Amino acid sequence: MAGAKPSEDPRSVVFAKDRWLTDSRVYNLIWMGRWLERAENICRALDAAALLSTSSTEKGFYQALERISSAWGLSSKTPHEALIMLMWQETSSSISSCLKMARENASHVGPIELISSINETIMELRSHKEQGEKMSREDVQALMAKIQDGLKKTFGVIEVVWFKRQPLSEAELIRPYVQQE
Amino acid sequence: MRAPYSKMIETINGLGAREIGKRWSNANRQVELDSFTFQLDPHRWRPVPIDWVPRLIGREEWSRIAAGVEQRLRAINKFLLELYCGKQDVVPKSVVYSSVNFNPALQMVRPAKDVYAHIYGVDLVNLGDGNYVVLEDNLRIPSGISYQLKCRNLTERAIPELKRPYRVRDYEIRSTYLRLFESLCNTRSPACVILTDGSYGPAFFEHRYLSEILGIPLVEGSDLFIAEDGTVRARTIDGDVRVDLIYRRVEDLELFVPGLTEAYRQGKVILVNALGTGVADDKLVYLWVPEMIRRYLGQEPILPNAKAYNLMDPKVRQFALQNIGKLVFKAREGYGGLGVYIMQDLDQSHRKEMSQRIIDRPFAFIAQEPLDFSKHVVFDRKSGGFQERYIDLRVYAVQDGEGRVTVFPGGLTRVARANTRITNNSSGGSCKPTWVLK
Repeated sequence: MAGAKPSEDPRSVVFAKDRWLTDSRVYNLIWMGRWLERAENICRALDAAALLSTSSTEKGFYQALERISSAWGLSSKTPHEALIMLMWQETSSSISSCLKMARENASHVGPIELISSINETIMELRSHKEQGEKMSREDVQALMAKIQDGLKKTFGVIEVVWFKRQPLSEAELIRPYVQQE
Repeated sequence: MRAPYSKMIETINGLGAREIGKRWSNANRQVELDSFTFQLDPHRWRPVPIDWVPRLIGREEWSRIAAGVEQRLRAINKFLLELYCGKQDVVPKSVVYSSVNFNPALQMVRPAKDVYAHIYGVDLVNLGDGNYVVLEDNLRIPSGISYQLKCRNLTERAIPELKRPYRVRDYEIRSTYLRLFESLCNTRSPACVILTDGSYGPAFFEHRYLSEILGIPLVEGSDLFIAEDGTVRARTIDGDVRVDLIYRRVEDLELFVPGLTEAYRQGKVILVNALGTGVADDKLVYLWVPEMIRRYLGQEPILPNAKAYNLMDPKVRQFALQNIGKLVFKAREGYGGLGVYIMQDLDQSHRKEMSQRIIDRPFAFIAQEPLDFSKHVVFDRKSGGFQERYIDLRVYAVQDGEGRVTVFPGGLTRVARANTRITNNSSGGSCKPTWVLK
């Protein structure tokens, strides 16, 4: 038996770089978007807590955090623990975990620029973990601004790479269940 | 310190430990940013540790290695063709038939252009003075070429001064791989994909990286299906696309794409590496590779095998059992450092257990003598000085459908941790950039 015959259809699919949106890629793109949005939501909530904490004290800010976290079903023993839970804890409702989940999806989808931009945000967040409970309201605000900038950059990469894509041409496709001549 | 390294040491000393340390940190940050990782288990990733002091291989030394690797790959391909589609009589039947990777269902199924092993990785160690011996052949899914490229690129970016005094051989793999795919397909524009087992496999970084540099889609099993006419199709959001060639990075095809084996047997799709190649990956079949070279190529092997023993021979088995504490045992179908037992590092109870296993299943293992292979310096960041570690070398080669063999200059140098000889990344080893001098 000979090897595979060249396919007869008039195609010019040469190694169609980044043009196939396979099912698994689509699935990962959808979920990546969801996780990134979740991370962004938590950032905004923390921002809002900083802006709206009625009294201007740290205590007021932390109480606001505690209310936010309990609204999301997180039970923290102390207001400071609420901050840790929202930022770094290994549960699905912290910024850090959401970004890691998004990175996992991104690694299926590529390209490297997208993965690196998510990694950059993860590393930024991690570098403040040491400070943890000692973060002041201003520190939290500054960090959230950085994280949101990082996320904007990531969304920018997705926009350029995946939403400006040409669909596959008729010649490249084999319509399913159509008898080939 | 060998002469060629003197310029490198000068450069390192000239930059000073502080500057090197700074560059090192930046480079390590880049490793992490690029998700250049090796996976220890599904939820623990480890950035690949790189030692930034390059290994140099001289021109003559390299030309011997390259010729030896090419010879080996050609002979192995000839052997596989004889085995499945002819009458092979180099390796005893008892050895072939006891290999778990021998697949009788593939007899008389000729692969495209009669090539089985397209992509090959061979593990070598230097016994000093440039005398290399072959430790094992990797033919199932040889991985690591991306680590070789990435290591080199990162080092050249982090400490460009190191390269300046040298004339290093440059190469890229994209054109070689694409030429390989085209040569197998008989067509100028085959639709090729890389089939991955997903991001939970240890080499996922490599799958993604190759997909990116070769510019071909990375697909999972669920993206592919076998159409009614027996061809392989990929589901995309625009519609279905016929797939001509699958560069597979998985072993159990049926698990990922039911019906793929039959599609391959019918000649509807090309697989790289072809089905059935695994039998040459077998640690016992390895003993006969020098004989294959003599028989099929009519040449003397350039790179000798490491001394190894066939435990199916009663006399040899007796000898191995008597000297059990001095040998290394390998499971025949093991890979990636799995199933390697270095007896001198194990205690009495393990040795006893091993003896029993050999008596029970002598056909499942081979024995090798532990080698005194060469060391190389690594730069110790803490002390700012150099330390010595054991190193090996994995060299990658490609054989295409037109009979061309390309051996990529350099290879992946793997460095063992202090005081051990196991260089596998999964065992905590690191890698080093490898430069071949012009």
